[in-house]
Amino acid sequence: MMKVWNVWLVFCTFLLCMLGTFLTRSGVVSSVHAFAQSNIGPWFVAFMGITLAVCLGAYLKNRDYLASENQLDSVISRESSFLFNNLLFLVACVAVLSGTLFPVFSEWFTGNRISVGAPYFNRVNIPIGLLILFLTGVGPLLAWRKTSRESLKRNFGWPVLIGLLAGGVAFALGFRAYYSLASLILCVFVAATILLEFYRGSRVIRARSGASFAACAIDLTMRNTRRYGGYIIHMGMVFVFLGLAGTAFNRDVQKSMQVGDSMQIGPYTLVLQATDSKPEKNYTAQRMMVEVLRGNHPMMMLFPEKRNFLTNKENGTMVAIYSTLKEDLYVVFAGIDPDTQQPVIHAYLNPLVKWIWFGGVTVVFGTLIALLPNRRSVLVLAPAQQPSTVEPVPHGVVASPILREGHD
Amino acid sequence: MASSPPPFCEKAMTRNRALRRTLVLLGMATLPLIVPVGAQQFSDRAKKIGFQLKCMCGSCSMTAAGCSHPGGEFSGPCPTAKGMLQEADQHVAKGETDEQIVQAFAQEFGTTVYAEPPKSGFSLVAWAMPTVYLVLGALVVIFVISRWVKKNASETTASAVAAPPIAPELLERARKLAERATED
Repeated sequence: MMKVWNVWLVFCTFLLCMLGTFLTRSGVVSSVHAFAQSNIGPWFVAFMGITLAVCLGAYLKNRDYLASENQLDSVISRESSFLFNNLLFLVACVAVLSGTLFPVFSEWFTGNRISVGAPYFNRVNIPIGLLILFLTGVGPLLAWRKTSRESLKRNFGWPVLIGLLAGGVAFALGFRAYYSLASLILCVFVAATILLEFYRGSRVIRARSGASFAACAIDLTMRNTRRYGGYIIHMGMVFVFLGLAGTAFNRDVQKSMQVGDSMQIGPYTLVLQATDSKPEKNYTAQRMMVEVLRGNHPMMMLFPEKRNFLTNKENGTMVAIYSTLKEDLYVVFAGIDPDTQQPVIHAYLNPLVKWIWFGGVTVVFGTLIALLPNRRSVLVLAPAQQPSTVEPVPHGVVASPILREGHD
Repeated sequence: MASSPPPFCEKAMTRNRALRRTLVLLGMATLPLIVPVGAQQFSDRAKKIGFQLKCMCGSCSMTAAGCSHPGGEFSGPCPTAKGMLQEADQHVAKGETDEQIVQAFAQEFGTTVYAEPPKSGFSLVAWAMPTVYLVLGALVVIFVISRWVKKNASETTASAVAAPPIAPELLERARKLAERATED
């Protein structure tokens, strides 16, 4: 199904990679990666033309093999969710592409180059990202070809309720950033659908084997690694979105401090205890010794520093980081206040950052699981045990085989 | 009875204290030499406006308030962006509104200073495009799916007419089997 569509997605992905490289390298859009004054542009265009011709040729040559039967019983089916998922990814891709090229278009049409920066891309892609997250939860629970109303109720009733409940609690606790709130509700919804899937499958195995839930969940995963590996990948994406939802609550404080001064950021108090200079082989580091207290309890010392590289006379900034599952605290020695000649400490408190990393690791883990072959039940032949009381079988008669369940 | 610390330990502590004091003094004295680019604090409003303006250093496409490109200071904007924030603060001091300040920058640098296209004139196209893509794409997907559903329905009807009817008990048995299989 959808073979032509898939093949063209592959072709377009490669072509767009080339286009992206061309746009940044040729200087069509401003980029730090642009080659200075080079004639690489025409070469890139020619290469992209050849690539497009090869793609078209490959498609036309194999058109008959790519013909497939596309049939659906209902709009609410897993195939439809695939198509909508593809649509959302494509819209995100084309929105970024047209936003990137908008300065060029605006110059053509109006004579003025209107720049498009990160705030535009964030504003456009956050709703698309949330819709993709929604489909992450919905898609895998829809049946192939057609999903009945009963199945929808059974699969989504609890997850929707739990998601809304989590949203209600967060709202009551003062969570007002609406994109983050929507992200939280969807994260809980998707996580609930995934956990429910594991629970249902494990329960069936447990009823037969009597093993623990954890053992049954592992057994379930190993029986269909692509499906349950996929769920683990989805869970990883939930963690990533959870981390991204935290960005709405990022905060930072900058203060000119002398030794003994303190500043407050969130629950942390930062006290500048001392400064020192640390000469190294190729640079000299100016180091701040910042004590971190929570409440009145000392937690740790952080050492943000600035390095002055002697040869090229450039400064490097070394950020001191305290990272937990709840939040990341970055402490930076920002420089010297020209008015007071005192060091300036810049502190950032970014919630849930670690979840983004954890999500990435989970996605990799899920991918590895999905790559494993399924553990399938197979029938193997094993000789029957000879009962000790039974007389020996006469010579020439073979023990009758019985069927046993095993695994390949 | 509290014993006094041995002379060696006392000497070591005194030496440590002296060393620390020297280090602190040395550190404070060398600070201006080591960090030639001074850090500066800007008002919250200047920072807020800075997020609507592009850093005009020419080598990055970050906002003036969020500029952290290589060569700049990680913790804050590069010198160009700093100048812009300082200018924003001067406008703030004059009592201008956010919009007036952004317009002042647009007059100074041209339309390239906008971090995101303004919601007026030709720039509206940039804002409308993603919605247009989504609506058009959704219409195409819905059209394709409904065509597949119709095609399937007509083929099912045709095959139902051609094929002999299935016995109800057989159908029931098959349904039960399918239910059991999908439950697993």
